[in-house]
Amino acid sequence: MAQPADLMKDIKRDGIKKGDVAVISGGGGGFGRAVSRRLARDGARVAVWDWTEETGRETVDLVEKEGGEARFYKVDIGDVKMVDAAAADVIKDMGVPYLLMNNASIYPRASILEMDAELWEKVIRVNLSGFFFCSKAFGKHMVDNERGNIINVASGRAIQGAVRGAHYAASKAGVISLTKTLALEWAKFGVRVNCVVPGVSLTAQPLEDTTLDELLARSHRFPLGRIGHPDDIACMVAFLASPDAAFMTGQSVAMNGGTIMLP
Amino acid sequence: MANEDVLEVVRDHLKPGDVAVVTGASRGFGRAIAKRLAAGGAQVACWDVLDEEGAETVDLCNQAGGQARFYNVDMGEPDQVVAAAQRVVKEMGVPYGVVNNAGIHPRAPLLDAPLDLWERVIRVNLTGTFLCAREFVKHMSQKKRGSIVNLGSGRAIEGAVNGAHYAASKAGIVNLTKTMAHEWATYQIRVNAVIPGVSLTHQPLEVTNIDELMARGSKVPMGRIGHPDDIAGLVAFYMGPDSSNMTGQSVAINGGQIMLPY
Repeated sequence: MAQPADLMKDIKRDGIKKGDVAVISGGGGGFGRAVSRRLARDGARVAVWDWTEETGRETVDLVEKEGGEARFYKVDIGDVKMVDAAAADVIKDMGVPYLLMNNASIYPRASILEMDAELWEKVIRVNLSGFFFCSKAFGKHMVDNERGNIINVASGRAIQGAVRGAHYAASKAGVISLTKTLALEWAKFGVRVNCVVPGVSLTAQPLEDTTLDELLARSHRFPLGRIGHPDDIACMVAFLASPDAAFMTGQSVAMNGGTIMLP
Repeated sequence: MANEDVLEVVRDHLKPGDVAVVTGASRGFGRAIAKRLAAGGAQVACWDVLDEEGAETVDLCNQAGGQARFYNVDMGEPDQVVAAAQRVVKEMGVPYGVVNNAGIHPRAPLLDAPLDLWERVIRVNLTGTFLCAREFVKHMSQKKRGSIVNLGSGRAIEGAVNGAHYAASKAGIVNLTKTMAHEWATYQIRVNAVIPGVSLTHQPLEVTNIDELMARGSKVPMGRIGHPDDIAGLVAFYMGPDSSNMTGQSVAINGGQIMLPY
């Protein structure tokens, strides 16, 4: 019996392919490292961006030990000139990327009353403007190629706010909105833009403000029984980068053991 | 760097030979989902009221590399749902995956919709999802593994002219997904939902023709309407190891037509 679905036979479902370039900002940190290793294992060539040279180079070493290909770039994503220069370097060294993961972020704790304008602006500049700078620097080439995939990292704080983190929470809410406009403007050029919303995870970031034991103890508050692991985010990115997500754009998806449920 | 080994991570998933139940499997989304899961080696229980097309889905599943069986079940009849679930457990085993996909969308404006139409839609779409999942989870909870996928709709977010019953049932499903996720996380059973957009299935063709349906692709940012295989791709992710720390989420796959969170 003929089915309506038979009428659309020529759907192209693009996704990351072996040899494609993936740029990971904050590639030296927890999420960025896990994603770099996962994508490299799946055959991507990875540009590891970080401001901290030591951790960024460690990620490159780990990828290479696992038989993958990676290069380190020292970049402050809050500095548009540095972003444009590093993007040009990546394109020259490795080619136009298929995938950009905007992940690098900062989260210096301060209550609103003790937060000066400078600190607010610094966080917004890195976490929100930095995502815009990187998306634009690579997006114009992706648009020209009619092929690309951008994955932003937001946070549960975007939904719930954050005591001692107004700047961070607002920047991450901005990332969810930016994801939508990037998706709308670039959909017709074959560039998809989605966003991952992690929960509290085993990374350096929460450990700036708590001990490891306290962090692990928070697992009891998670329906699935544990805090997040960086590999969870790598799993989500692998899906969003794949042909199975080819009809997804503009979405922010929570991967957090059920601690916040969207929408 | 944090020492990541201090956290025990288990990534269970639908394995070859595992059982997956797909309701509404005779056509559209259900057929594409059944085929996709069968291609991964699952045994698929295909539930529907449409026997002839259901038999075709079973053939397609078997050709794809899985093993399938058809069950004639009306999701609006609680006794049938319970009896069919018990038959699946006896004949095929306790499922790992349950995909609550069956739904009806008869059109009627609010002022004209007879009460029994409202009740029928809520019963098939929402109560059917509840009963089907619950009946299987009675068994899945003992195995402490499983993934349940419910089908929401963009209508759950935006409402639907001439489809208040349908839209409300789908909003109920998005919400039900969350409570199921909370209550069953303790059994390591994950529950998530798919939110499709307008797609190339029989449902919109009940009230529009094929040319008008295809033309709606121009309103979708990605330039086309949805295809059942798009939905099958997301369900495959929900059944796979990569989504093992995901529960309670409703994810839209719709070419950017509605962007969540809204």
